[in-house]
This record gives sequence, C-alpha cells and structure tokens, in this order.
Amino acid sequence: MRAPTFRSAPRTTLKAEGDWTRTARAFVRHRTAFLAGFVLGVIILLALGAPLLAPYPPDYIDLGARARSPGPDHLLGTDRLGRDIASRLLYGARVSLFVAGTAILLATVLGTVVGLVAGYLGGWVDVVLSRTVDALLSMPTFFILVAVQSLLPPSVWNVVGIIGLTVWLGLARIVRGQVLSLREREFILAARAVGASTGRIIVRHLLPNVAGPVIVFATLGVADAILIEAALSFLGLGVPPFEASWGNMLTDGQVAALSGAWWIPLFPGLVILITALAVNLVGDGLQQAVLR
Amino acid sequence: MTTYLIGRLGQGIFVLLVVSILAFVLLHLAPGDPAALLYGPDLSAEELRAVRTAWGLDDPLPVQYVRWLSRFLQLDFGRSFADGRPARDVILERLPATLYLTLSALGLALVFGVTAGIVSALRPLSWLDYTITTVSTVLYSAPNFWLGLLLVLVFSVWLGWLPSAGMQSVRGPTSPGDRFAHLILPAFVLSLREVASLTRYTRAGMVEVLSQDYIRLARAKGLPEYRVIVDHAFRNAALPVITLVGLFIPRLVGGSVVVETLFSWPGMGRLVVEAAFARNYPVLMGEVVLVGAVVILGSLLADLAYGLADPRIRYDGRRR
Repeated sequence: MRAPTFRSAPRTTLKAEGDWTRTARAFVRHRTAFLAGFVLGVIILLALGAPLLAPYPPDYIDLGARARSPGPDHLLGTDRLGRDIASRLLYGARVSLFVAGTAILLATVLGTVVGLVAGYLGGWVDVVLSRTVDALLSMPTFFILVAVQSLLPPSVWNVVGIIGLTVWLGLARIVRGQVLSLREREFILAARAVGASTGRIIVRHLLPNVAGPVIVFATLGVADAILIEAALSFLGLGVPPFEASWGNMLTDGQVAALSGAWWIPLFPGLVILITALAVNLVGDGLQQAVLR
Repeated sequence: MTTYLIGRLGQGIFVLLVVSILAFVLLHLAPGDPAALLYGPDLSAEELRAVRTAWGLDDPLPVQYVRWLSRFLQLDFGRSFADGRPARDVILERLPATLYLTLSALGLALVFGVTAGIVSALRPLSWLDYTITTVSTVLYSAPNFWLGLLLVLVFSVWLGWLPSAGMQSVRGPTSPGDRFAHLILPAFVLSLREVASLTRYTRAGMVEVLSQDYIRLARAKGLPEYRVIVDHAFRNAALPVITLVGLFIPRLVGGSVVVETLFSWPGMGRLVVEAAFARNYPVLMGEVVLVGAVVILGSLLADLAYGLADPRIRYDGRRR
C-alpha cells in the first residue's frame, strides 16, 4: 500500500502565525497521521500473524493459573478461566477488525449508493431517501440495535450486518450534499449534453468525485464500528461468547474489576482505545489532505 | 412556526410508525417462542398452545400489529411476558431513572465541554490547547464503558469512595447525598463522549468567532476581556452548540443502554437489555417506540431553542 501523502489544509489564521510555526504544524500533523497509520499497520500485522505469535491457543484453559496477574508465563496475565490474555487479544484482533472492516464496507456501499441516487435524481426519490435518513439519524439506534440483535442467533455475520446497517446514514448524507453541488457543474452538463445515461453519469462522473469524502468517512467509521462491536459484545449481544473478541473480553472484565483483577479489563480496553485512536487520527489526516 | 411544528411532528409520527412496523416484524420473525421461554418445561404442549392462543400469538402478523397499534394508541402496551404486569407500568417506572441520568450527563457535558472548548480556543496552539485537544481525541476513541470499569476499579474497589452500582444504597437510609454519590460515576461516564465532541465543536466555533472584526472592536473600545469572551464571542459560538444538543439526546439515550447495564442503573436502557434477553415483546416494542417518541420530542425542542437563540433563523419564512 502506498503511504498516503498528507497535505496540511490551508487554515484560517488564528493569530499572526509565522511561516516556521505553520511548517512545524504541518509537519506535526503529517507525522501524527503517519505514525497512526504505522500503528494501525502493526495492529493488522499482529492480527494476521496471531497463530504464529500467540504463545497459547486462544481457548487454552490453564485451570492452575486462573486470574493470574501479568508475569513471565503470561505476559498480560490470564482471565478468570485461566486463558492467556495476550493470546486472546491477538486472536480477538482478527474478529474485531474483521467485523469492523466488513461492516464499514457494507455501510460504505449502501451510503454511497443512496447518497448518489438521492443527490442526482432529486425530486421525490430524494425526498423519500433524505427524510428516511434524517429520521433514522434522530432515533436512538442503540436501543433498536440491542432489540434486533437479541433476536438473531448469535453469529459474527449478524453483528457485521447490524453495524453496517447503522453507520451508513451519515455517509449517505455527506455524499448527497456533495452530489448536489457537483451536479450543477459544467462537466456534468457536458456529459448530459453528449447523451450519457443517468447510470453512466453517476458511475463514471459523480462517483470518482465523491471518492475522497467517502474514503475519509469510511475510515472514521471504522473507529465507530470497533466501538459498537465492543459495546454489543460487552452486553453479551455481539460476537458469540465462545469466540475471542475485544468486546467479549471486557464482559469478563466487569466481574473481574470488582474483585480487583485490573489486568483483565485493562488490556482489551487499551487495545480498543489504541486501535480506534489510530483509525481516527488517520481519518483526520486524510480529511485534511482530501477535503482541503 | 405552527406549520413547521406540525410538519416536524408529522415526520416524527411517520418515523415512529415505520420503526414500530419494522421492529414488530423482526421481533415476530425471530426464533424463540415467548410462551415456551416464560413457562418452559413447566407446561405441556397442550397448555403452551392454550397460552399462545390466549396471548394472540397464533394470529397472522398484520392482525397482531393492528391489534397492538390500536391498543398502543390507548396507552395499553400489553402485558409484560415476564410477570404479567402492564408493560406500560414496567416501562414508565424506569423512565425517571433514565431521564435523571441522561439529563445529568447532558449538564455535565455542557459544563465541561463548553469550558474546555473556550479555554482551548483562548490560547490556540498553546500547551493547554494541545493537552485539551489530545485528551478529547483520546476520550472520543475510548469505549466509555471500559473507562467506567476502570473508574469503578479505582474509586469503588480500591479507594472505596463511590458506590459502583444502583441508584441508592439498598440498606440504610437514603439521603440526597447518598443518591448523589450513586449518580457521579454513571453520569460522568455517560457524558464523556459528548464532552469530547462538545470540546471540539466549541473550540472550532470560538476560534472562528474570535477572529471576527466585532471582537477586535469590542476589545478596542475597552470592554473587559471576560465580557468580550462571554457576551460577544460565546453567544455567537454557542449557536452550533445548541444544534449539537439535539444530536446528543439520541446518543445519550442510546449510550444509557451500556452505562445503565454497567452500573446496574434501574432505567430504560437496562430494561431493554433485560427484555431483549427474555424476548419480552410487549416491553421491547413499547420501549423502542416510547424512547423514539421521547427522543424525537427532545430533538424538536432543541430545534426550537435554536430558532429562539438565533434571530436569523425563521421557521415560517416571514419576518417576526
């Protein structure tokens, strides 16, 4: 993957800001996003390499070492069943990242299509689609999410579907907004003048022009998806309990925290935090580079 | 104004109808027989069938939906599958706890978020600004229930200063102080994410406003700095913040599901989880629609507040 080049956005100057300060700021921003991208890459590599790197199988239960604090045998300690936390984190990364990534893929496709169609076609199609999006955005989605998720059989795919169907709304709104201004531009008029079909205009002319915001939003959405997965799994309504996921590990952490076993909730949460933070910082960087 | 209000209310009602239909269909297509779940092995197949007929579970879905809707409009949500009490009572007795928690969190978010945003904007690019921005970015990326777990670990388990669960002490007298102590951790945890985004928005708004000419004028004519900040700058920067509050309401109510579960808070968020696990349809349905209604009403109020605060906004197109 080519490392993205980040350009600092031209900023409305707050105070007289010297050229050096500005350069330094651009540098720092660039570095932050780049560093975040690097951290994210490492996390993905660790997830991919879990079978090679994990010292124990994720479900290996050592009854003699239950709720053991971090030490030489278990670098990050063991949970209350005696499973190695470091190993479970590595395997959990696969599940959590897979869920977040796939869910965002689904949301991106859905949000882009709805946004393009609503924005370009306008009229009653736009009214129906935008009103629906506005309406759903004003609902407490998590209530509905919990209600629906509890009724489906536990499976990773259901979690993917339900998160994907929740997070596309904001994207649809953004894409529609972009299309509204794009469709008045000359190149669209020109395309229409030479007789390009609606489908062709949407796919060949509009889609490439909204790709920037879509990528930014999709990136930021991954962080949301990671947090939603964690929350659902924490409630016992997410990834099936027998599969290691970061959220599932926190469910166990709640009881453990009350008995003072700090390492059981600490590490999974920390990993979620670091991943979501890295994703958000990469997203912010992309936003500055793309949206100028 | 009236036209606008009616339009918004109509939209809200339409949404609620759609949501209720979707939820109703999903709930009833889902596996698991509530009659069997409730009585399980105690009843014979014969008796289970009798229960299903008594509850109307064997009728076609549209019939069940229309029956449910017409009763719902008369505020009869059906009986809770869990204990046979009216679902309305089961839900409504949880409402105050959730309102108390979410409004407290909203207050905390406004106080902390706005203050941090203003402080940050007064000295842009200073170390204080960087610290505040960094902390808010981190808070925004952290699972709030995890931060809650850690706070419980520190303040309840290790230090023993604050209670870790419930709304008040189970034993002993309940004083206002005791109730307040129970509120601190859940309200704080629920507010964290909104504090983070309020800080960002307030900062951005203030930075922009502070670079305007009328701020320079206010300073030039010798107004004390605090008046420049509070009366001139913040009043203008506060406008987008008010719209945000409308967005916060659904987010806070949604967030209450996890926070209430974490802190055993006896509110609607925990109830939805309990009802979900028990496949308690009447309670689930009533709750989804009722919470939706409360939230839509809240957003509408925030919209109206926006119109009152900003004289440039008119909802009817006429001059006032």
